[in-house]
Amino acid sequence: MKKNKPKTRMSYKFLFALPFFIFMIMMVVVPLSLLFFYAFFEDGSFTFAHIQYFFTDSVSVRILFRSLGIALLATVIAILIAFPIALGLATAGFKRSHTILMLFIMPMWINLLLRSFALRELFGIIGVERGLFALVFAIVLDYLPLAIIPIYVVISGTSKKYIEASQDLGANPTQVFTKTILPLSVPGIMAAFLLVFTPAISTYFLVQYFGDNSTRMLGWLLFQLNINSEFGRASVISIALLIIVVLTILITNRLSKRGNKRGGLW
Amino acid sequence: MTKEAVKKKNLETIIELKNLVKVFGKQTVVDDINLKIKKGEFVTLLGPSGCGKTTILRMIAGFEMPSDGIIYLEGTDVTKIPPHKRNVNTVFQKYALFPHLDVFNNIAYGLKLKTNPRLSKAEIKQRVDEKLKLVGLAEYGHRDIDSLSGGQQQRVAIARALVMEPRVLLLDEPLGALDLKMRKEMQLELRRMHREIGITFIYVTHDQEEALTMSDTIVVINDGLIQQVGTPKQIYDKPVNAFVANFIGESNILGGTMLEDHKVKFLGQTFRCDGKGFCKNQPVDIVIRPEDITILSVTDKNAELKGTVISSTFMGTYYEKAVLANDYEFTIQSVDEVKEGTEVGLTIKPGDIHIMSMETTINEYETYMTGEDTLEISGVYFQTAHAIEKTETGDEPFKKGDPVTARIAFNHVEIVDDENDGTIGGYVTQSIYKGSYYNVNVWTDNDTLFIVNTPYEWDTDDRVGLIIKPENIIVERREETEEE
Amino acid sequence: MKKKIIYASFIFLVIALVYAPILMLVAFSFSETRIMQTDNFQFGFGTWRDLFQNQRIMSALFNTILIATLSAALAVIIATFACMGIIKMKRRAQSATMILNQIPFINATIVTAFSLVLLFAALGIFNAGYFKLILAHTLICLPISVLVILPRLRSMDQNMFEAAQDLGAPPMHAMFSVVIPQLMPAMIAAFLLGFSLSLDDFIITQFNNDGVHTISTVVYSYTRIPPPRELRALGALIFGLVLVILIFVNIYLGKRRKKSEVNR
Repeated sequence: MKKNKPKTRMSYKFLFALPFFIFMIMMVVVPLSLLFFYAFFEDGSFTFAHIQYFFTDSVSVRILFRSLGIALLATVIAILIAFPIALGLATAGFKRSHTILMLFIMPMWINLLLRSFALRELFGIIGVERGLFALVFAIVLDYLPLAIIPIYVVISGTSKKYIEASQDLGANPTQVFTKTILPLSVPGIMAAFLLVFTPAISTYFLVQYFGDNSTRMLGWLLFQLNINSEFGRASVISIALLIIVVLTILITNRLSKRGNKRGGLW
Repeated sequence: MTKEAVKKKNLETIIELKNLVKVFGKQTVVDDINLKIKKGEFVTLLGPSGCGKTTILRMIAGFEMPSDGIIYLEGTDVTKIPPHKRNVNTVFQKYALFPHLDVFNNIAYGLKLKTNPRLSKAEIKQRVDEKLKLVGLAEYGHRDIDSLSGGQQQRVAIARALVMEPRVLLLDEPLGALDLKMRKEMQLELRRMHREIGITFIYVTHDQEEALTMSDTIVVINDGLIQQVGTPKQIYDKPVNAFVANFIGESNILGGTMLEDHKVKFLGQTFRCDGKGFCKNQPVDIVIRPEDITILSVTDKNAELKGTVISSTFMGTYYEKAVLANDYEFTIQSVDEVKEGTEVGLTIKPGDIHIMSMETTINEYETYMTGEDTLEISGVYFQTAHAIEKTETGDEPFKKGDPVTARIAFNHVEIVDDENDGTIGGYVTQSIYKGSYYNVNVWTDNDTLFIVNTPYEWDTDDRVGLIIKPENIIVERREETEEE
Repeated sequence: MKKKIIYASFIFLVIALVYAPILMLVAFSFSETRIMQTDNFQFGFGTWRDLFQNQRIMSALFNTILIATLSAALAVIIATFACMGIIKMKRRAQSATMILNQIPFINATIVTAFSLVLLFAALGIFNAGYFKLILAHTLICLPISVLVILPRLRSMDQNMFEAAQDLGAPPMHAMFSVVIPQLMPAMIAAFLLGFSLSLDDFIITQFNNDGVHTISTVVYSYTRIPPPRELRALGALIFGLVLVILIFVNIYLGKRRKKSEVNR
């Protein structure tokens, strides 16, 4: 009995996805490859010069650590503010919690720059100078909704049954919080961390708008290098940012799973 | 069978599946299916989940391309024709109604697509209304799909398919999502519609009760192969193998031996039965329906078996009892309530002991070599191409008088019309349709049974000839037993 | 009850903080002073007049909307076809494709922005602002479109597409008459999300715009120099538009919810 290959009358399925693949390869894969290419090659020959620069040049090293510090600071503050808000909206039984959530989300639809413009003008009136405080404040204010949403979703998604169960087992309100709600909300916190940290560490505009000479960050450096067409060094910075983001994803993922498991009354 | 008879049979056939195969990755889901479906029949493809029945249906509809084989619709090869060009329509298990259209437009969807000839609005309305009436939803045209119950949605799906006036209506477990009462109602409805419209229905289900209730013909499928084709009564009364017997209705299946015609031995006892045409001492499967076993008092002389009642469960219209007799647990259904632990006697009418061939595929004969490469079976000399024996000292030919076992596979025997064209002649005593072939018993004048798998239909009592090629006779030395 | 009050106060405080700048902007858009000053509020519509007369800002506004609309629409089309291909793929191919789809998401936008600079430089495309921006913004909108449309397509009864063909519709016709209407809600949602992402972008536009201005780049251009008062009006305008749209959406959703309740 001969078995011939069935005529793939059904192969249009691949044709459908073809434009997508062409587009993504052109606009994502190729550019990323170019990034690596420019980072390691200069005038056609392999070189570590750019990497060397990144790790040894005092300016770039300072900027690297400063970026990590500022982004971390801003993210932590954002989460500290977002968590009570999300917790309150999810558990305190507000009648229109969805509307309040909407109020927090709406500014996200106003162009980031316009929002920042408004903030800077306000700073001008109040008398807040450009610098670290202004920068961190701006980052927190701009990305707060991104921190609130995942925490809210996770907490409100957490079945009330868990809270009731732990109360039933004799936990007082503080214990209910620390032993049940908090651990179960860790995935949300981790998501919030990722959503705020990523733009925070890579921002250029906010640095330029609200920062001063002492708050230069990676995004700013990349911008300058791009203007000077220093593609090699700029590529290295880009890759550094890439690695930082990937690491953040991995870490938050890990912590998210572990945090979830550490729930329970003891 | 004459040529005219063959032609006549083909005229009645509306769908023919020839050597149909479907392979998904490494799994062969449909394995060489051959089937002819007659015009106007209500045919059910019946089998457990995963047996391939839905895949067969989808290949007929055109949603799957066969890996091999041909599908004929009214004589035309439609295997490569896409589904929108085939004149068959499908009723899906989950209805697949279009939620953004109302009932009327769902049914009219296909009609609006017709181009030769184009249908006018009035014509479309007329046909849709007609079908709405047929399925009992006359005033529902403007309703939204999600406002209908499951049963109503199913009827819309049926109307939508029927309004296209297909040659064949395919139904893929259409009643699966309905509750029991609705299901029974719809079964009768479908039967009624089939009678009224008269087109061929091909129905797929795993529910054997459903199949028995609704079908003209049932095709039992398992593991991608056709097990048996027949009317509901045939399938129920004369299951051809253990699988069919087990799948259809409750049954007690035992292994046994046909001692001779009308005499079968199982559970260490001999029983009278109707089975005949089997080899002497041929191992067989026996099936006895639970309602065919009668419980008697343990002292009754008519009781062929004695046993103990292990359990008795009330099932609404009867009691289902498990009785342990001769180490076999019988399932018995009857209206009498018997207490657990009671010793009882069992009797079975000879006609209710159904004999089925076991799933062997090779004819075996104990005989002697009559020469270096010849042997005798049933008084006739056969040549074998396998006359070399592998021994410790090397390859050696057989000698005259060597005791051997000759093995001939069922499908290696060829049946010919004219006895003189064959090596040996005999009468056809049994023919079981297995879909891709007929399993035929041929008895020679010497009372030797040849079981043959043949693609052709042979009638009982036909006088035929058998041809067996030398390379198909496998010969193996056997140990002489003391009796010989 | 006490808990609720504490939460409410905190939330109120934060909301006030978040909205203070914008609301202030709106207020001062009606003050005709050159710079925003609390001690000298001159009510008038001068800022608004200047806004609509400012060619630069107006054309930037136009560009922004044009690019957002085109890119979001293009992304939805590519994403819809992509999803139809994706659901037919084997598991491994599907996950690989989804990872490819997520990469722009994961990248910091500035990295994407810069990588596109390299791309266009390597391809030798200069001075093609609109072209580059539409491509880049389509990239912005595409991943979210796929993420929104794919689950909707998955939850659709697969048989519907087959049923349409069974009834005589050739595949293309079946696609448009049955599948697309079903997908519409997801496609619209994807469009809106993509639209807002495009509207919000700065760095990708700034790196690749070849002089074509959007709202973002225009505002940025006033970073180091005193901003004209029209910007206040611009901010107020955008805020007003977003507010109006949100109100309408809420009303529309409320109506639909009521309608589906009545139908039961």
